[in-house]
Amino acid sequence: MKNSLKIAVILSFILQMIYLPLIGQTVNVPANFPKYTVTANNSPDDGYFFLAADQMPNKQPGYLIMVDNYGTPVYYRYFNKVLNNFGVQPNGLLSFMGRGTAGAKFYLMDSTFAIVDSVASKTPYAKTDPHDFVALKNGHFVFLANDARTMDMSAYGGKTNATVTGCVVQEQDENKNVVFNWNTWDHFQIGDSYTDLTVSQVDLIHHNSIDVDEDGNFFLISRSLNEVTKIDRLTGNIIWRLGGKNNQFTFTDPTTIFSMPHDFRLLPNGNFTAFDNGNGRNPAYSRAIEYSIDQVNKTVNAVWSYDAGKKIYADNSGSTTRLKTGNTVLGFGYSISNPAILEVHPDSSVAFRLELPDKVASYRTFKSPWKNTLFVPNTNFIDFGLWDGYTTASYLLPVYNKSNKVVTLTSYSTHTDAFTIEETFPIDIPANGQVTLTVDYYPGNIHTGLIKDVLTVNSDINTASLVQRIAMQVQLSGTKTDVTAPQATIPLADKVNISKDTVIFINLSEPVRKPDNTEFTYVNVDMVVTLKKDNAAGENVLFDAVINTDKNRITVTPKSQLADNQTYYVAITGGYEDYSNNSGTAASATFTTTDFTGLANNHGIAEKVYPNPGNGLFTLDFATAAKKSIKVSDLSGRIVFRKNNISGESFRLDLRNFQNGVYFLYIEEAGSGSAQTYKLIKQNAGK
Amino acid sequence: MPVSRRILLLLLFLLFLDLSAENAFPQEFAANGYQYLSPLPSSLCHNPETILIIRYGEKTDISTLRNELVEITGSISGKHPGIFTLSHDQLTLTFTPDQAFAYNEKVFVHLCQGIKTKSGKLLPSFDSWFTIKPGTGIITGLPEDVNGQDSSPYKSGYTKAVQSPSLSFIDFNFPEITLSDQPGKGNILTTLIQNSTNYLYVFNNNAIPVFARMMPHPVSNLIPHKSGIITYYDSFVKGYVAIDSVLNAVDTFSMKNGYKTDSHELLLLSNGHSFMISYDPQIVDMSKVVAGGNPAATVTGLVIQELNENKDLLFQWRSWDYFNITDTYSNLLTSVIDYVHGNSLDADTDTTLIISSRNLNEITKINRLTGHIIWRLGGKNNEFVFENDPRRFAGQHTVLKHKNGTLTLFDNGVDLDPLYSRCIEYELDEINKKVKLIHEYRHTPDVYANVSGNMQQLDNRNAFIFWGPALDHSEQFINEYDHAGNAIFEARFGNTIYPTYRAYRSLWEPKSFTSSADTIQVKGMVQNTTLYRTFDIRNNTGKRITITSAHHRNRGFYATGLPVTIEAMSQAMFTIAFPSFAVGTVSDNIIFCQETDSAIVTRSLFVSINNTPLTGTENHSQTGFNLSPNPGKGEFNVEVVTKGRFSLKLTDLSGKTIWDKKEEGNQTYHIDLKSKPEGIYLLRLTEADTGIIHTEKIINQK
Repeated sequence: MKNSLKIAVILSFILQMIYLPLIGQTVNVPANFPKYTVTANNSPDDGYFFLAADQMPNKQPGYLIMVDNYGTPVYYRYFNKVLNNFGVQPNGLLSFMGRGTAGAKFYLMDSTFAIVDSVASKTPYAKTDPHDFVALKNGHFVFLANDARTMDMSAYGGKTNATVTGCVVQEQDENKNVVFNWNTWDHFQIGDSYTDLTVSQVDLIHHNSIDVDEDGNFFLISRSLNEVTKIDRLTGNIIWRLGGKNNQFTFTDPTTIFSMPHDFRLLPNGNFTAFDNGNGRNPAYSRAIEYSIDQVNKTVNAVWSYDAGKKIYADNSGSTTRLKTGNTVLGFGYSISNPAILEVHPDSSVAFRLELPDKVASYRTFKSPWKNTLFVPNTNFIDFGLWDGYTTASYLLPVYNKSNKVVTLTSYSTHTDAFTIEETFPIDIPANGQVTLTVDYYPGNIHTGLIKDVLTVNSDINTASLVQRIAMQVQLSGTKTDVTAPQATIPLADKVNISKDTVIFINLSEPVRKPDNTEFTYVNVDMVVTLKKDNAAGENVLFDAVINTDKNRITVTPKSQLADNQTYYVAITGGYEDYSNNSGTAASATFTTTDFTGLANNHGIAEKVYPNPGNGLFTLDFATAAKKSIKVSDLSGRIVFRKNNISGESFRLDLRNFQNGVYFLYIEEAGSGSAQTYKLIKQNAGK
Repeated sequence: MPVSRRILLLLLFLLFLDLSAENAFPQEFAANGYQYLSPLPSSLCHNPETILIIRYGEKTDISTLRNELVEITGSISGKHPGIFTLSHDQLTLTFTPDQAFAYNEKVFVHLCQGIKTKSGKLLPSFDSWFTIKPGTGIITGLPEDVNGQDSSPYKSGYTKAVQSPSLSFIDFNFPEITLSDQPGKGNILTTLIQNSTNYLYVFNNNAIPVFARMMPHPVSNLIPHKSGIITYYDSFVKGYVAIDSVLNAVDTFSMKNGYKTDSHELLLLSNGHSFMISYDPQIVDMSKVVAGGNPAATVTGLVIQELNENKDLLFQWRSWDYFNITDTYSNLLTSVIDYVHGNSLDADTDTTLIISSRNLNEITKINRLTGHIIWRLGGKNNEFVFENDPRRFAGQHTVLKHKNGTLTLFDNGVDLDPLYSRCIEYELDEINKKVKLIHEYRHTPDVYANVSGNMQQLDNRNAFIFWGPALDHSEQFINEYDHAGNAIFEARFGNTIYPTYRAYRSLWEPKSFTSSADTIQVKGMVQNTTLYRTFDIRNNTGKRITITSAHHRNRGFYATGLPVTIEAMSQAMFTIAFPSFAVGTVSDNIIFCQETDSAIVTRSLFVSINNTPLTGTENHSQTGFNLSPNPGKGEFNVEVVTKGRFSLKLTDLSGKTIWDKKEEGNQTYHIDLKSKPEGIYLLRLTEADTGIIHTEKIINQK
């Protein structure tokens, strides 16, 4: 029973992945740059996602990456170091952890991406730990270090010469003098830890985040203790202990108790967020959680959480970042690459979703506005106004080089072909000088009234010693006479055997807004969408709807799993218009879910999957010639096979090198967004 | 040269210049006898590639020209030696500096005394200065002149000619054409867009394309010139390309002094001089021009150049020096301001030029020897009395002056009330500054095109008009009107295929292949005998071509043996067969097509059949079928007398098909309705070739 539950959870997780990749903006990037995909962009907050993308599973060196909401990388740099913790610090600088052969170090970069400082442990017995680092506004630095001791653990049933690692919290002032050095050996008992004490390498504490309270005290997560500890910054005394064997708090709702969390952060409103990995929880799932903590009466009240429908479980690492508008960014750390990043609105609808390739992961994901000050445009926004239907309009865009060295602009990108730069790249900007780029607007083949775009101008360096991009961005807009009404289409129309975990896309032929000329957002777009059982007169089905940043796709997510073999009616009312005030018309569709209990050989996207059970060589005959992508996962949810852009009407799936057993085959059809999952049984030939 | 190398070190950040107009030619230069200087003394924001033009107004003694007589110094780039040249007319001196100036610098010019006129007068020395615009790298990416096909911007594509070329006559979406009386002679030249693909497109009064070429980049403004070439603007070449009658690219035209060539106009004179325009964007602090203006707006001005037959620059005229930014009707508060939007040029005399500036609502006549404005008609600086046309004009196109002194234009009527576009002809009194409306053409129903459109006055004073894209993009029209205003031709385009910018009527036709006969006549045919007529088609190009298909409406004749490949500069014999059943009087065209992957070229031959029916042949001219008996008792005989392919269908009254056949020629059928209920049935015959339908009710009785 337990096992089948687990399968169901993993299955649901696989089925959840019904997103279409956006057009990748990763042009002109190096060959080993991770080929991530952005599969949802529904008006997330402004700002960039900060990733330190290590090669997995053994944490090999990789890239620092800043990526915008469209997936366009605006900064990257390859380091021959294991990386993590790339983000913006309270002191206004960028920082990241780099671990080479000499151990871990925290590096600080200014807004020209020059490394200006580095910080490491000054205490000989405590090695710098990579997990966390804070550069405070007052110039001080706070980070973690490891104090490993050889000791006799036989009293705990362990080895007589075990290596047992404790934790040090170290603060250095702006001159790198150690002003605070707090050691768990002085404050915690060995018995506080939940870790296995019988092994030769005992990870006794496993601290993973450090933050500073408004009163100047520290919050430390000790994962092996399942505990958040508040430490007095002046005396080093423990103020309180939250969670674990020494918990002093009462959770008003026991289901909100964390399990082996990461990233305990103080919010400006006094609440705290954490990434609650949920180890040992049944079923296992991870969540972002926001606590209101009464530190006097020692009560904890969870005021918000997001658990992705309990479908995602990251057993180690991960991050939670609350943004200024109230959106929350979840990084799934080392264990989940799909999704690797989610940004969710306060109502839990998905604002942004990014998938990393299987063997790439980022320990944490931050999001923050950032501005490169190496070279800057004279404006952040160009509006070309109404196109006259014939003439190329030009805007002269001065770009200033703020440095003492020549900056070479190497390429640019836009999302549409309405906007181009006339000049031929590369273009040198003299030291402390400027160039003027001629940005042209010619929306000849674009059939919409409002055209919005982003110009990204790159300065790439690709030499043996430095692989780096620094980019600047300018928002672009223009309009075009448009008398054509927007059209809505629903790709799932008349489809059968649709996954019960499907999302429903409503595609618009051009960007749309409300008839009162205000914008649709995740808050109000629900108003124009209807989801019912059976038909227009059927019973309402609860759902969340979001609209994408480009305002031409509505994603409808049912609040709970759809029923077996049930017809659903989805509709958009006429309460929308394009940005030229042409009213849209209502559209509706019905689709029918699969009866998943049968599992095999449903007539959906794949006409036939055979032989099943089989010896591992399965033939998939597709019902349509549309491009497909397929994924195969094993019972643990691990993706064992993945292939995109399959064309043709048949595909030979070879699992002969895998162990016998049950696999899940997930097929997604490009364009329609429809997806199917099949159970495959691989067994020995002749059985 | 790549931009990176052209961008020189800058000492200063950009100064957002206040480009002020009305920078008239300084009095002291005129007093010294100088007619024209380019750049104008004290003028701003020139391109680094600028050359010096000096016109004294008398012929120059070439032996007195010495390069060192001009001293040019850039405040950043230093001294610029260069080379003097004297144009053919011996009036225009140009001095070309050895290398480009630096951005954002001030350039000082000193002419030393020493140059003499032919009459022995010494040209007075002078000092002048101008500035180079702030740093940018506008690419004027026109390759060296295109001669021959190898470097032409399109693919000639004669390779895959025989089987199913991708550009097919049959698949082409022909415009719908309405004719009345006698349309003008010649073809219609335009550029059009179908399914987001750009075409050069020449079609005749029968809506048949005589030349269509699919272009990989946007193209526009296909203009027929008196010299026999046609030119079009190619956005990839960023200039005008000329093609001759055998469809070879033979020339290109582009701006000098570092300006990029704009698509709106190319004026070629019979002496080989060419006039082009450039849209010149500059960064202007508009907050100094108008309250609330953008301090770093991009304002686009107009630059006009005259090149001689060797493509040497003779004359340059910049709106910055003559028009105020506030003359415009464009919104001055935006960050992108196209303040002039020049869109047509006409040289009404040897020394003047008429400019249409759409965003000024103005027609300007200038002296092209001196650059001086002669008069301004329309707009904020209007000098004329509109005697009988209080509406005036707005956002106009194609302002042309004619020999009889009248002025024609396409008046878009932008933002005028009520909204409609029209074409007008003014009687122009340039002395007393009066205009009188003498002709007005409006489409029925009215069309309002806020952009594009043109009017051409034909030699017989007919008006040929492209009405531009209607605001609702529903339909577009090309019309010809006789002098009385009657529409004698209309080509109508839907919103899937539509012309762009302009359309012209011209006698131009492609001559890449020509035929030895224009008309094929057949008289007095003989029963059961097929007649043949032959003629030659000559390939006038240097490459092998294939005539891939022939098309005609009447099925009483056909071309044999297609496709036919014709070697370069050779001819081949073609045969048209006339089977004996083709009886009666037929007037048709047979259209021979050369279809390739990127182009269609056609040639139409007129076919005339005049055949008196021979003895006892009433059936020959009959079509349809004979049914007997009717009413009948379940059994009927049908004799089809139609000669060509046909389909025959029997249905009940609900439309349900009981029986059908698709065959060819005389056939006899027996229909058995004994098992069917009594009542009325319908027998329907459709002639595949003509589309004619014959029906008859069958009454089935028991």
